[in-house]
Amino acid sequence: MASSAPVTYYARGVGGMHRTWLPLPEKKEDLMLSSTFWTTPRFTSVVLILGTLLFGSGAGLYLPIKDEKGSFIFGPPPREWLRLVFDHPGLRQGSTILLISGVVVTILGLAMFTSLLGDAGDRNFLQLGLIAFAFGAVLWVISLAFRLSIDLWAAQEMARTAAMPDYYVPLTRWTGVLFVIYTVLAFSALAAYGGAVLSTGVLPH
Amino acid sequence: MQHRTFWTERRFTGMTLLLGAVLFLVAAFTSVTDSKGTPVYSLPPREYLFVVFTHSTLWQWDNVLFISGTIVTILGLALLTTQFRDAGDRAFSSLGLLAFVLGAVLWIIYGAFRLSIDLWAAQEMARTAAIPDYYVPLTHWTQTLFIIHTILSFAALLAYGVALLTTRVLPHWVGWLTIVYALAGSGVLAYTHDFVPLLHYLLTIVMGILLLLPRYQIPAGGRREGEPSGVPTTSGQL
Repeated sequence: MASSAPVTYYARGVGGMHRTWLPLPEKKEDLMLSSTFWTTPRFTSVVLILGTLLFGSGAGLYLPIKDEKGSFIFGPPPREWLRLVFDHPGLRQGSTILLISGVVVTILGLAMFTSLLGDAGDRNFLQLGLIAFAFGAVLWVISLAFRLSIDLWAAQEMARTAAMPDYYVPLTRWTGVLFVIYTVLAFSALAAYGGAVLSTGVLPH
Repeated sequence: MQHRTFWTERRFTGMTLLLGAVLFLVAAFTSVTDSKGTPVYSLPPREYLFVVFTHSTLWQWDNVLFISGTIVTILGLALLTTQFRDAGDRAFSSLGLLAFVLGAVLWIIYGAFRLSIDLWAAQEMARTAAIPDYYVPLTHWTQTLFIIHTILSFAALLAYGVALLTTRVLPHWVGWLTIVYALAGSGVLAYTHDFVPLLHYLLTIVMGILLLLPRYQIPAGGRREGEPSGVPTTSGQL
């Protein structure tokens, strides 16, 4: 989608008070984006929404995983957690894969959003926001990969031996720290994007 | 903010680089030591875990500062890369940023290990008087991550050094200094299999201070005399 010539994706509205998304100029090499509906802003919003839906679906799939008392999987202590993992391997794997997909697609959407707002003038906040989110997302994906691998392995070990592997709890603490860093970075990224939106006026303040 | 006279993009970049370096250096200079003053990083596993256990709060603060310093430095380098792109450099600064970010991910994984497994293992050792079986193999893994991080940091600095030489964002001697440091550091790492990471941040301090000076600001409405007229990029993507 990158073009060598500068392209303006928006124009000032009447009186300069509003900015209205306009279709891209005709570019034969980019048929999808040159159609009336599939403007770059719409494509960006679809990617962002898709990322959110994937992530939400992944989170939603965790909801049916409950213990006998009706507690969600994220509440119980490690031993109970591993038992639930062992009892629901498919559901849990599917939900984790959806979470990873959601994060990756959201990064793509934010990259496109960054490009759009960059065209509107702001660069620094956007660049900081994208890097912070992508950097944090790597840590989050590592944490999720742990769920897809070590969690399953430890759950099978516990089912076989009735004892939780020694290494399991320390490793969960490690990935827990990665998750905390991801969360801080994600909030920082959103704050940077908020600053960018305020400084460009492309979206409502 | 950046439209005011003082807060130019370059000064903002310089301040961010300085802040990242200061956070990292504070962590380095307040590092935990044993009773003889030996830095914890030089101790064998048993003594290492004992020192971590006895100074657990300081240990956590140090590592939070290490991680914070690294993240803020990444942001500063991202802003610096924008300056290089505007000054005509297309490839080297972007490669440098990519290498540094990749290395920083490994460094932060290592930092998270210190904040979790190290503390856990230290408590286990204090309780049982034995190092947990899993601990030493995991430290070999994280040590490998640290070496890869260091190699990537030197590669990043080398790329930034070339970017400094091909533009006029900062004086060329900074570029030469960066290149010599990266090459010399790589040699030391190859010979000793270790390198003190705080030294990287002395370079970002130099760059940060220079970016604050009036002579390195872009005059309003144009670029400095003699600077290549690269087309400013419109995206903030890596």
